[in-house]
Amino acid sequence: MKTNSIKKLSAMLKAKTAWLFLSVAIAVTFSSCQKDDDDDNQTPSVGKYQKGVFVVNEGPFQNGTGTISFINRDSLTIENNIFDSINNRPLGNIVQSMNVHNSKAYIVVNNADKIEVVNADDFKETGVINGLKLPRYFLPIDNNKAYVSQWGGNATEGSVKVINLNNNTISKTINTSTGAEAMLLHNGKVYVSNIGGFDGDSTITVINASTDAIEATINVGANPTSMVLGSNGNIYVLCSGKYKIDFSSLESKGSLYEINSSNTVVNNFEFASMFSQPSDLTINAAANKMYYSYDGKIYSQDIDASSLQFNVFATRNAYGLGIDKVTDYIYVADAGNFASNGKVLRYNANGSIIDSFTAGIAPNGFFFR
Amino acid sequence: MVMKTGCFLMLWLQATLLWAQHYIAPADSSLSIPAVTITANRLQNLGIGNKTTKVDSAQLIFFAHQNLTDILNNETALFLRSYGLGSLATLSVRGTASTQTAILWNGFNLQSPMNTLYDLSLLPVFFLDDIAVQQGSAGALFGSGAVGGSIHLNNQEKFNQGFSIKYASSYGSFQTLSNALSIAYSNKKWFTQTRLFYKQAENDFTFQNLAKFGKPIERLTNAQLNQYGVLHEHSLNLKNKKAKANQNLLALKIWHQGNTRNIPPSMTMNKSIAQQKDGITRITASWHYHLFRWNTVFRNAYFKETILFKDENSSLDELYIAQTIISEWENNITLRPQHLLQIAANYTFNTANSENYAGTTPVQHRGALFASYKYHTKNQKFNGVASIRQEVINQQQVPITPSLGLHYQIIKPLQYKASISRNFKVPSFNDWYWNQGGNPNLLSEKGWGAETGFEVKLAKQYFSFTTEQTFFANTINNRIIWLPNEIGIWTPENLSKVNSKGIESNITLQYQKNYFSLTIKANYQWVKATNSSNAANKAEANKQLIYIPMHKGILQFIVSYRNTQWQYQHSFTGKAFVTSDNTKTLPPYHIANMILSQKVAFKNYAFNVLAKVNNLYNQSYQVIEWRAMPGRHYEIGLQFSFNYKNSKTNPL
Repeated sequence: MKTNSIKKLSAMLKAKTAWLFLSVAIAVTFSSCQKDDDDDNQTPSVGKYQKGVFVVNEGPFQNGTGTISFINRDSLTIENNIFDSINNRPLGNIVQSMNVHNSKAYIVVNNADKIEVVNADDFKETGVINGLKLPRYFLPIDNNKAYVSQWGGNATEGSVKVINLNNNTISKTINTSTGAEAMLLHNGKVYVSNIGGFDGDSTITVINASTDAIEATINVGANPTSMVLGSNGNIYVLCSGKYKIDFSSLESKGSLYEINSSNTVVNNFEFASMFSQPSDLTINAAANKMYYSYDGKIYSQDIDASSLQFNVFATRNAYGLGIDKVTDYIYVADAGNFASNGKVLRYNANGSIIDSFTAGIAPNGFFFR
Repeated sequence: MVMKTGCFLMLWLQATLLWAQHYIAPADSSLSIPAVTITANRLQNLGIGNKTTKVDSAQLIFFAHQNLTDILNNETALFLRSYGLGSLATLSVRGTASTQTAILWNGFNLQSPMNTLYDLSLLPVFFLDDIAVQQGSAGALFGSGAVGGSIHLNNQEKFNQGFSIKYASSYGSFQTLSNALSIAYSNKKWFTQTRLFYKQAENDFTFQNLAKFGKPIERLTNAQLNQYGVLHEHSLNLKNKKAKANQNLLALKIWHQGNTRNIPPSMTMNKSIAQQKDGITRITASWHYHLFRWNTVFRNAYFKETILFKDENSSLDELYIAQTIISEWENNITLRPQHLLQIAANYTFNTANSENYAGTTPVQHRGALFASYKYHTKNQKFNGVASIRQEVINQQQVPITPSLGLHYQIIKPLQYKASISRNFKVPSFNDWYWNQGGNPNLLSEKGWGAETGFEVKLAKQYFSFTTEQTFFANTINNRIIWLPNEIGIWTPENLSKVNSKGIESNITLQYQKNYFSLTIKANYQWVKATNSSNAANKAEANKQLIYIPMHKGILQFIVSYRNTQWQYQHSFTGKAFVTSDNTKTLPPYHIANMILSQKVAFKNYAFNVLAKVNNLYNQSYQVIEWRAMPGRHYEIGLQFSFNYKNSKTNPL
């Protein structure tokens, strides 16, 4: 009896169940073969980023992607990786800086040789500026035009690319000196600091913003990195100095230069260290007190001081500094190990920490909106 | 979690046994398992209770111009992490890491001592006669790395076959050209075979760059591949009629391979000028002697691998050289007709040169002793094996590694199987010695794996039906992960614990009558591999590991009539997470391939023409995030074989 039933069972399995298994398997496989709908989710986030602080995170050094974080001043929350989470793609390797103009955000991606353009309010992608080579900063000139500083091929050239904002293309190239870096617009003139790229330089190129013609070249200290405009109308240039070719010590020390409106250097102060390079010059809302990073500390300096004051503002290794003109809080980017998420710390004008946020990998700067 | 799953599996196991004992009468006649066969193959002999996926050897010819990745993708539901056409591909079995699958060529582990990886995309199928993937841990049998499973790649020596030539040439999309030639001669004393392989490809396919604004269509750059290889095999059969030995065989194999490949940019990079050149030399010599109840194999290997990596963008120009010596002595002793004892010893020496080891040249001496005991009942209904392995690495003991496995035939078509095994994986040289960050105090990764399942085989007249269902659970402790330490240097630590469990399900259906045959295979696997709940980063706790899709299935149709064959293969890969907190996924995808072949056979020679369409539905997909994969592409192949058998070459 038992053997019979087994025989029956196996016969049944062979004939019917097998085909059943098969047809089910086929049906399941093919019914799941539908194409993926590629529609974006229809929830508009208008105004989400209208007011707040953007944090530029360079990202891991070799193959990774940089990110943008957003700090909401009211809720005091940080949202990381906003470009990717909205556009579903990464920004690219080494995000250098960001600027907002006519409610569009321009995100400069250094190693990817491009500027991503998004609506600043909701961060939805609207375009890209290609054809750049190691771009550094974006400076809006008017409704139709912007300047982009870049280091060029092998980081040993230097130019300002004139961008037509109507179609996001390059309309002109202004050759500056080596490693065009920071830009400052004042009195219809653009001051470009030539940081030297992978070589060296010690000049500021002055460009007429309406004719795009170079008007002057000012000699300053070695490797000028950052500039601010003081309430007195003078421009302050922080030069980080230059290392010897074997990196044993500094060949030229760091320095702070002051330039008046007739392109004349009116003051210059040298830093003492043979090893540490000053960087990240910023200025407060009243434009009378500057901050910079040097030798593991953050120092402040009054614009009219007659020497380097070395007022210790905070003891912290800053990879980026920014001052929120709305609150006059000082924002410090701490890149930590450059491989895991860095920190953003907020200080009040007295140098006490208010709070801190975990940002992306290697935060290097801010845009306050 | 694993405890729970384990309990569940044990209950399930017991319930099945009870059910079997109470309701199923013992079957009567013939049995499907052969008697204890004494071959040199440890997997066949002792891999009892483990799931093994054997690639049908009839399929090898259709992949003669391709690499191991291609045939595994087509024939199994295993998940291969592929960086693109011709780019790095590694295997993840049962939710484990790529380093946790042992790659064994004729019994020798090919994993690089430097990173314990093996790139399956550069192993020509033409150099292999037999491919099997054993799924599940088997540390006691195959040593370090056999955590998720092991791949067994074997060559066969065929005596008394006369003279033969095989030639396979193919041309395909993206200027892919390959040529393979083998020349063999064997009589009853001597076997010699030389195989040559050459492949070149531009791999410059177009793809949609989803990482760029406007998602433009781009052409992949810097993806050229050049690959050549030679495999010599010589075997001497010393057995003669006067000697008592059942077998007395000397074998020598020499494999040389060179690969030059450019590393294409990912979608997020603008361009790449990186290039990698590999030089591989493998020499093995073995002696196989079988006398009455004693069957011994003494095998030795020397491997040398050089890798030259250049990337001017990152100012990298690095040369790595890894060398390995393996010596193994295996003894199979048939104590009594149903009792087999295997005792074996293995010595492995590894060394590597790299600028990244800060002037030191790491040297590793590994010794292992292992023993297995196998018993089967006289009627072959029950087969059981118990194994144990103890390994010592530079005088440091690795945890003792036991395993148990069994097959039990409940009724004639239904076979029950179960196994449990401890496993381990020795850290790589990079883990130990990398400058900066290498951690000399790292311990081996270790864990347990268990599986149970059943197999049904039915056949009637023209039909045959096979199904195998396997349930598994693994746990891995001391898992090595690289994290930045207090001063910001990336360093590996024995930190995480990973649990995985899943189901593997196969159905094969065959109809064969006269000149017509139809084969339908459906394979499916479900894997849940998670970080344990006490993960260092809370956001990762209990989350699926990255790049391990939970679902993967394939469906394969093979129809042949006389010398004409049509194959259709359809695979489905479920979504895979790319962030360890599971916030980001790669979408699921379907890939279909089709092969059409026509053979023309004459007395001594035969031609075979084949055409292939890969990614038939032109699916756009990514296996690794932002790495472009090719759309629909084609290949045509022409194969020729010739065999001349001298009438004087008598069977042995």
